[in-house]
Amino acid sequence: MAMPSPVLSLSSLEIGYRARRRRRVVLSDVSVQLDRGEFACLLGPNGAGKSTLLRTLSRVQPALAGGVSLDGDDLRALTSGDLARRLAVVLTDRVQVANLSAYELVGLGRFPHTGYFGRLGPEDHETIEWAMEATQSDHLARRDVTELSDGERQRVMIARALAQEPKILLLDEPTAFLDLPSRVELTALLRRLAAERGLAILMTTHDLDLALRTADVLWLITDDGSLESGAPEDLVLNGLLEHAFSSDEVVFDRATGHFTPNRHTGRRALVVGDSLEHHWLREALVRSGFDVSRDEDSEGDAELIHCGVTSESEGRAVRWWAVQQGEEHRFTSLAELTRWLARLRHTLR
Amino acid sequence: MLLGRPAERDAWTTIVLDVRLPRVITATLVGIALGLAGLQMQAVFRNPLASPYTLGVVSGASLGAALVIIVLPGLTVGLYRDGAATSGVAQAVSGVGLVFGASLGAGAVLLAMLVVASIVRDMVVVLLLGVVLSALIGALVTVLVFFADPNQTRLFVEWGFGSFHRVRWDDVSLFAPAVGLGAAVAALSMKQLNALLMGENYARSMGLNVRRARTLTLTSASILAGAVVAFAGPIAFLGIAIPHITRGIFGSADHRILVPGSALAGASVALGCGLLAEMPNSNLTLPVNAATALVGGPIAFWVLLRMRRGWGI
Repeated sequence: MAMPSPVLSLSSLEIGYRARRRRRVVLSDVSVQLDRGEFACLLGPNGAGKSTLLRTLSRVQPALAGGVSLDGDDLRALTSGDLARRLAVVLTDRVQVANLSAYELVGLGRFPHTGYFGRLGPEDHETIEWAMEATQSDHLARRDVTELSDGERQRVMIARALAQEPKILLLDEPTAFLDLPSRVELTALLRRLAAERGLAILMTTHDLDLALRTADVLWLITDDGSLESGAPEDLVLNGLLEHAFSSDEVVFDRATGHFTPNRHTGRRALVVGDSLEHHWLREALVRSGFDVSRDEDSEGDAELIHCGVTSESEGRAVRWWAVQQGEEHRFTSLAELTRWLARLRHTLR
Repeated sequence: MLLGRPAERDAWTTIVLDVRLPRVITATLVGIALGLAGLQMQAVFRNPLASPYTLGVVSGASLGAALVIIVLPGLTVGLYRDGAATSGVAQAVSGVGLVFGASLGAGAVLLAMLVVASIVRDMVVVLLLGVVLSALIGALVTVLVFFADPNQTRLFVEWGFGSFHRVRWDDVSLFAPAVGLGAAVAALSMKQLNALLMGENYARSMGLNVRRARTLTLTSASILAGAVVAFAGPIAFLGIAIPHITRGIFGSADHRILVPGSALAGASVALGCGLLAEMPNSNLTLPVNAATALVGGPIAFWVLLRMRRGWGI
């Protein structure tokens, strides 16, 4: 069986800006591929070149060197209509047009498929309806685009891109400005579109957690101006993610794949137990800057604060306890516990 | 009589066919032209306040008219040194020459703005440059008027009132094709204007040659607005107001509706303004510009109030 050829392929691509005789290279020697049905997230710090890469791939600006091939053809050789039928974009530009319904907006995506006057035929209407159903925005069809919420508008904009019937979809920070549930929904939607419709989707994002959990592939722009790609887990294991995003302020936990603020204080705590309460007790202690140990042997350590959950029989009011230098304290909530820990720290100073 | 039957009096034939009919046709053409030019400008600039005049067409035409009315007679006086001859020349000049001068002025400014628009990417900057250029040319006109003699000043001011009366049948044969050309371009670019609704980046991503669409549309708007200023004077407000009236009536942003709609609404409103200017049942005639501002002013007001609620083209 022949391997399917990648729908988007970048080979030794060098991108950047050319101003008069000077060239400013943003990224060089980029060689990556995207297959049909793959959902990729493009990560990188601000100003690293994420937008420049998207602009180059959508031919808004020319590459400095190397090549891009879309579905087997050189990007430069395509007519603008051909390009629009293969690649659609969702940009950060806000589209606010009075008297324009969501349906009409999605219909504008038919531009590269319609004739000179842009008349929509039966197939065009079918495609528009399909695109709106696929993005779960069909109930918005009659609404004015100015009345849509950010999340709704973003789904309509994706429907518009789908109406172009592209093979590749590029999205520039589609989850910015969305609340957390909408972000998760939108990312899940994109992942499903890639898997079910065989689209190759590349989106830029700052949402590292979400990218780690949903992307098939991560494209990571590192600070030395190169692009590394791989499964999210690969980039965790080989330390590239940690290297790209860790700083004095933020630490990356390779075990959980989470970034947490660096609040390391050198203080240590002991929590023994595996219930849900114990899990969140540990989270609260970590948040307060503790190294949390599970090792019962270290119980005798005087520096260590031993924390735990009270048993049911002691009543609901008191749920948490802490033993510090032989003295036991009781708390009704984790807020009370962490506040006590903070005060303790200040009095010790 | 319009149905081909002979009129009761020959004078009526003359009045209707040679006086009234050209006026009606002029008003219709002016309305169509300004409605379409305004629509095109607002689509290209994505700005609800853009109008053909924001690009400096009127000021350019004013300068042309001022040169013809004020400077040219002065030159001819210098040439002939003969009062009788010059007054005749001035008469002739202010008829055909006015049309010529105004369209030349409008054309020159628009050509300059088209060059600017093709160099400067940011359309807001282009719009601002148009406003600045207008002010600059306006200053030149003020200087000319300041040094002109009172008769010439009066001629110039009258030209500035705008009128549907100056057009004769042979003017129509020039005016109509100019408007027809602009309207044809507008009709052929409806799809492009729709794509531009989403902004240039999206339009480009869907395969539109933005620069070409922009140049074509601005050229068409220039021809339309230039023709109006040349034949009817600087008619205000219709360019801004008509597209908004049309959007309001049809409740649509689709240029396949707005292009014919604006032409229709433009013609209707201009005819209405013409009627208002004639002041039926009286011998008075108002300047057309007063009538259009009376109609267009409140609409512009309404547009501004709506814009505050997060409104865009």
